[in-house]
Amino acid sequence: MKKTIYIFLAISLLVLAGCEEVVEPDKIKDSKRFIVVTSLISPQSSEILAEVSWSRPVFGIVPDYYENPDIIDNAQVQLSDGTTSVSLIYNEDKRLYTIDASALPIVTGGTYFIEVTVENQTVRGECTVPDLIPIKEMYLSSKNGWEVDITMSWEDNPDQTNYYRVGGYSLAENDRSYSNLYFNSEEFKSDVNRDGMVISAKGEAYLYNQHGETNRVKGVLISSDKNYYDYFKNQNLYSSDDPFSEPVILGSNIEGGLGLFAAYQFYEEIREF
Amino acid sequence: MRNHFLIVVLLLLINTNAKGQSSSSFTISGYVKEHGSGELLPGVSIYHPLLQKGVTTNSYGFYSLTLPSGKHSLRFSFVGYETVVKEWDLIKDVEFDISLKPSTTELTSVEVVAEKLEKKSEESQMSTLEVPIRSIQELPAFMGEKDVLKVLQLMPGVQSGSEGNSGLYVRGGGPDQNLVILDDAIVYNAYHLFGFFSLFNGDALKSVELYKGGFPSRFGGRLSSVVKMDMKDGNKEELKGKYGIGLISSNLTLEGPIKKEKSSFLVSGRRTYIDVLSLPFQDPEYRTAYYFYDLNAKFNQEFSNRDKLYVSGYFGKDKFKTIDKEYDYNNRAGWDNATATVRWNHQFNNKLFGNTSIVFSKYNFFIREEEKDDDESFELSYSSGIKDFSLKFDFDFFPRPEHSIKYGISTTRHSFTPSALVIKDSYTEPLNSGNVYNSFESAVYLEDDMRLLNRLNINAGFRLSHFAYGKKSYINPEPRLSMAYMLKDDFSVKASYSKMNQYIHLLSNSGIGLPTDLWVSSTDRVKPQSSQQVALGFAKDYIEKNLTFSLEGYYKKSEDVINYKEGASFLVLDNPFSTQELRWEDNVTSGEAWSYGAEFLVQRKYGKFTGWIGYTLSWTQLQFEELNNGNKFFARYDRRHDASVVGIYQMSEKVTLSGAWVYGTGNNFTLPTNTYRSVYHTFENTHYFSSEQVDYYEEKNNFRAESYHRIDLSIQLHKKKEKGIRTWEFSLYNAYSRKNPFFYYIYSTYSGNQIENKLTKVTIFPILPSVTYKFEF
Repeated sequence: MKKTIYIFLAISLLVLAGCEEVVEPDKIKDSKRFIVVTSLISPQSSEILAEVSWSRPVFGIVPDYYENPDIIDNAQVQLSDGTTSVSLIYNEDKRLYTIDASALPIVTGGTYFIEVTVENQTVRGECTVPDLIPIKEMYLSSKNGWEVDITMSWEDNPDQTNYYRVGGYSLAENDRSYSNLYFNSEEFKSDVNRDGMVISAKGEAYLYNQHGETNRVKGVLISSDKNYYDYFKNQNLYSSDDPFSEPVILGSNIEGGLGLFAAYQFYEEIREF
Repeated sequence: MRNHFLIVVLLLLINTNAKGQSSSSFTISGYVKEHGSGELLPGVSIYHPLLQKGVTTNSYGFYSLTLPSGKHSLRFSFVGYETVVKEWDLIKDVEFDISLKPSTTELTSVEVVAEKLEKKSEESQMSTLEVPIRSIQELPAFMGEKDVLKVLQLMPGVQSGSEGNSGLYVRGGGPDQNLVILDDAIVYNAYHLFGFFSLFNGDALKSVELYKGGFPSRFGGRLSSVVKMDMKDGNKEELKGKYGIGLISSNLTLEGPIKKEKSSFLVSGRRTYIDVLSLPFQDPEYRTAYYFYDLNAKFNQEFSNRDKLYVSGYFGKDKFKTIDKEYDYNNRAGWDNATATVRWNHQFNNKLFGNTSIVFSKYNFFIREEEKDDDESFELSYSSGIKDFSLKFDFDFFPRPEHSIKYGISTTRHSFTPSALVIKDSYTEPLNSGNVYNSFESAVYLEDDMRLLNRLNINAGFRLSHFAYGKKSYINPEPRLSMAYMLKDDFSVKASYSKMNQYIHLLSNSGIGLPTDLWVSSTDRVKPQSSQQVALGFAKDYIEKNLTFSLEGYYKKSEDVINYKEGASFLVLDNPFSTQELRWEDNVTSGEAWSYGAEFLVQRKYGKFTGWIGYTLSWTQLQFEELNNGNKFFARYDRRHDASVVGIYQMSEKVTLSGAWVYGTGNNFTLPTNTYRSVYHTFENTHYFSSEQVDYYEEKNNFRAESYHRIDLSIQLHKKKEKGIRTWEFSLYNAYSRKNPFFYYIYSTYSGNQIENKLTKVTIFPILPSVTYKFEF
């Protein structure tokens, strides 16, 4: 049906043959570049990673487009839990700042701070690790031989705002991921208007074994802070091929810069079907 | 509901009692018609110069004036018609119907004009605009298609959106906040071809009025404006008609008596023919076509002087078609509007006039796809729309010359179909989804147009509106006040206040009037929108010069206005299966809006040279908790300066020249200022940092486009033929071919390892000439 809409637009634009001209947007052309810090932390990760880069002003020339000229390799990256502070070290291969998770354990309920300094300019971020929420039930029902409907449910923690993301895979041999579980508009859920209740999400997946043998499906429930939720929910909405969609602001919680410093908990469970 | 009826009955009783109040007073009442056609004339001024008292005819040409016994002389005057003065020695009630002759331009001398002019300064009403239907026919039009809404855009306080679009932006409000009514029926989508043309070309219309503030209490349901259009009744004396042939469409209007002076009809239609003309040039195996048509029809019957029946309707459709014979694929999409109004006028006595209306209105958008491939077949049909049934009772009561009272009650049942989908294919079970949501919107109103102390005119009114959706119901009082104090005979100061509520909302984020725009109801989660507006102004008539001058300042605050959330898209049709679950309420957010500004208008409505100069200085700001980080931002069509100069010159009986120049501050667009690297998180609990850049917007609507201006010119050549008058019209749209921006996009050029982004402006209408032929008989 999208095709139909584009046919509409194409016809009308053909009828009204337009003309184009390059213009100079003065105000926007002079915009400055920002330090971009991106780091996700979780008690379930063995390593803490952070990427530091420059943003690109939209207008003008970007040299070495394919060479990632944006990455900053000489930043000072400090992570702290309020009492202990550790420095993340730049890893040339990964082009990331890293440290083993044991250096600063990420714990449920803990608040963490990141501070990044580049050329005398410092930007900061802060996040708090939410509770781990287990999957309560995962109900699978076959649509036909090759597709399966999934309903996943979990119990919300009362008296706090919680944010969730659901997903997973259908599995092939050796629990190799075969196909994504598609939750579409139900991938992101918050407990607004259903605090403390059982929350469920419906999705579907393609099965690996299509001839009646047992299938394995892995369900994942991520419980996250608001920063994570806003960023990835909006990333999902980000659609560059729809000329009429409202601009998406991914949301940044880096003070003085751009990017994301967010915390989440990762819960997974495998069911046979 | 029962209470509402009680109020009406009560008011009726008061009226009948009022009749016998003073025995030394008598009432002159009757109807004012157009000479030659029998068309009833609304808005005619009936004035007693000695007593400085007067009334105007209502929408159906009825008037009533109660005066003390004795000698009186009354002046019947209306713009474009010859004034008639009539004298009476009142000893009993008088019923007097009168026909006014349309005045011809040649007769116009300064003295005559002075008589004809109704004084703007005298009206209690402010913030209204009237466009003579004649100027709609005489002004240059885009592609030769006359367009009522585009002429309204030339008035101060009314702005156009993007290039070529017919949508009206009134005092900072969007097209969704305009109440567009045609013969009492709400028109939901007033546009053809993505808004480049409106449904109304003026051929079938008798009058067009626009209210942008100080709303009389008989109107409600929208925040920003009321565009009231009434169709002609149809000539009661003789068969008349006209046809026009233009570049993209042709039209025909016929009107005439069925039974002379008792009943008449009017039919007016228009259809485009790009589809027919392009057919020979298309591949017979793969064809696409587009057309639209309009059809207005009206019938009226006069049973007696006191009882009249009107039946009128509008039907219009836009349709796209694609037929691919090779793949046995065909696709149809389009939208249609239909309205039907049945009205019965009854004059209860010489002071009370009543009208009962039954109204139906419908808007529907549809897509149909069919595909056949050997033994497989696929059929899809999607539709969305709104359907209304209304019942209205309206009364005009003229107890004394100082009071003209209107009151009434109305109720509407809205049926919304946000999306209905039917899919049939060879493999799966047929899918049939779609819910209809009903809601009820009702109101009672009372208003009194008072002329007090000879110098003070007040229109005070009250409207009580009610809306019910499921178990949720809203009830809102809406006080209205508009007043004029005459500082001198031709100079007044005016003020007004109005509160408005809007219970149904238009979901539209394209801003260009796409047919996919969807009307939805207020619900328990989405509250009705409301606004309060105050305005203060001056009006001055220069009678000798035949000029009206007005200056107004306004301030409007709106609450609970809706907007799409960031990232929301109108292409909900993207995945037909998702529409079943799509909650539009999740896609919208409520906020506040502020509009304020000043408007200046000098207008010459009558004479050889007519036209106006308008200027608007305005600001429109919005604030939504969930948009732009909760900060205030300027609206997309926030326009600091907006000016227009419009002139029509009747050089001779044979030549009419006209031109319109418009200027407007550029629209606001949201452009990213930076892009940056993003992160992805997988369900295997790994993150990867992607060089795929995402846009960073410092704030919403941060880029102001270049200013918009253009001039349109036209010349009409008339010639009297044996059977009528033929007119050739040649016009130029955007005569100096200004490259006005339609939209902007970012264009990237790659060379080697280097990338350069440039902002590119797209212009769609350079200079566009057009020619039309018209014949009136």
